[in-house]
Amino acid sequence: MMLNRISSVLAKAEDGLAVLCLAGVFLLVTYDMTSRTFWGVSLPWSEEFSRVLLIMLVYFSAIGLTRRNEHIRVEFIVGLFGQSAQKRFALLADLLCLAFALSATWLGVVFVKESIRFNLSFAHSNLPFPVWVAQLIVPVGFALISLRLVLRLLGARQAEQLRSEG
Amino acid sequence: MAFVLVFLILLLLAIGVPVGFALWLSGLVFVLVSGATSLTQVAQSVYSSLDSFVLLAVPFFILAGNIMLRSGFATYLFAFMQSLVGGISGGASIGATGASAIFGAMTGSSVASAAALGRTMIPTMEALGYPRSYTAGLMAAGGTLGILIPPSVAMVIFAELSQQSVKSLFLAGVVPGLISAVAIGVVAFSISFRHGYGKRTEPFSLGAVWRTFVKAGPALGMPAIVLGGIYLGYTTPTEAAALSVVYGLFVGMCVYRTIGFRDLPGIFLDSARGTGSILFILSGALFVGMLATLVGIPQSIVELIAASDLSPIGFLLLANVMLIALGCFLDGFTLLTVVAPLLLPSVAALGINPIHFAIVLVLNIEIAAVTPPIGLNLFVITGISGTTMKEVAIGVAPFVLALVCVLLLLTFIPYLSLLLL
Repeated sequence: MMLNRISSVLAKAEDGLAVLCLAGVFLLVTYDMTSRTFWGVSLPWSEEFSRVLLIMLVYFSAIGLTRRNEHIRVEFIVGLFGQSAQKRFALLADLLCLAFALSATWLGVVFVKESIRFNLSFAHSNLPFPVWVAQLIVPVGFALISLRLVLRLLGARQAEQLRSEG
Repeated sequence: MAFVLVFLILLLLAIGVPVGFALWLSGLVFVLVSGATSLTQVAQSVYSSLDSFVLLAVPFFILAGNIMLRSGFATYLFAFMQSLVGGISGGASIGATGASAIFGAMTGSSVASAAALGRTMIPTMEALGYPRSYTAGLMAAGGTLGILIPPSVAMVIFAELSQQSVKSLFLAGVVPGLISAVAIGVVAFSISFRHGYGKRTEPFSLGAVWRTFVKAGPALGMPAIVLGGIYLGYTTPTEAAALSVVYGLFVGMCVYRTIGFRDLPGIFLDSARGTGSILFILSGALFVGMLATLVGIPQSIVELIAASDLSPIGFLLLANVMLIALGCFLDGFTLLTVVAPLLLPSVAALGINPIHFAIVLVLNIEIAAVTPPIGLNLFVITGISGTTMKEVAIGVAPFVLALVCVLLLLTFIPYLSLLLL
């Protein structure tokens, strides 16, 4: 029950952040274009920040896609097998995705630590925060993808148990 | 070593691992086994592969497509095109193809085109006496014009993969897009004429043309504003894409009044998901592309082609056969992101203009969208039309043949792709 509530709150946050990133990047590019066309002034950080928002948008959307099991995949070959084999393939695919997501979370942590250690800043603009703040999306994004995959695997296991009991 | 990478990707795709994960996981395992690069590089790529201003055009074109889809632009366009062919038996087929071509010039996605057009046109054409299988097939094929006629999300992705100019790619797509539209229209009209479809039709009247034009006018302004901005040099493709969102919102909310503020979160969320699913795959493809280059896979393909003494046309024909076969099982974006980086060095080595190759590739992606068993437009139209996948596939078959003929024409005559450059 508690897990469902947390999952539901997280889902709203993931979708909300994806929408905010898209709206933000749209407003920023539109504002910059208007400002440059009519007043000849361009924000020095708009392009770099737009790119940061795009990366965040992709990862927040990827979490939502994982939750809804809507990532693009090739289903033709698996579809040639029976129901029970298809379930096993789905389980195997989820486990492999989880393996990658956990690895990417770990690699992301190392990546962010390196950025903090070298005190890296944005190359082309004066964004008022260090690079690692933007790079945090890698470990955070993949940690949330891992969580979604774990929840799905647990859900599948529960459903299997209920079926065998009933 | 190269074999390990290719084998891993194919294996993971075959067992149903999502394409983006399959590419990243194969790349990671390959790095661990071969030591081709460092693990830090993997983490770096996860972040930086999408760090591109050009790619911002992708979410904007998807967003503009979704706004037009919800705002009912297709309804007004179809009514206008219908009025132009009033009184002609089977004329609605031409009207539908024309509306598909114009919608293609407004949106960059074939799925958005097929969904928007299918929802409006399938019930209308059915009421005019066209069988559902035929109409569904026509709409699935018409939707493919969305990615060839500029703007095009596929071309933005190709530009990122090949470092070509988006503007040149968009310009190159105009003539091939129009040829494809004419081919689809001719086939559609021939079938209607031969079987006597759509005999019930409103007579032609200038009054009806004017009335529907006034309604469709704001929608028709979209291609002029977006493409005009790019070609006249006022906007970059990314800014033009943002402009199409602004214009779409203005027309949908203030002129047609078919969408309101309450619809916006849903439209933005759908667009964010569409963007995520495409760009997550692209990030993996760019990483695998980098690995493939490091271990010399594209170079091996170049050497293989040089040893087999293939001419540029022979290479393109072979690529077409391979892409059509793969397109039956892979969706267009997987085809584009996985195959294009492998073939591009061979394209350069054979002296083929990369823009010409891009057009040939995009046409193959168009065909992939309507060939069973995996054709995204077929799935979309099946869902909308309430018919079976088999019926849609039968309906679309003549149009697939027409598109293959256009593909051959464009393969043999590069001038048609490069005419406007």
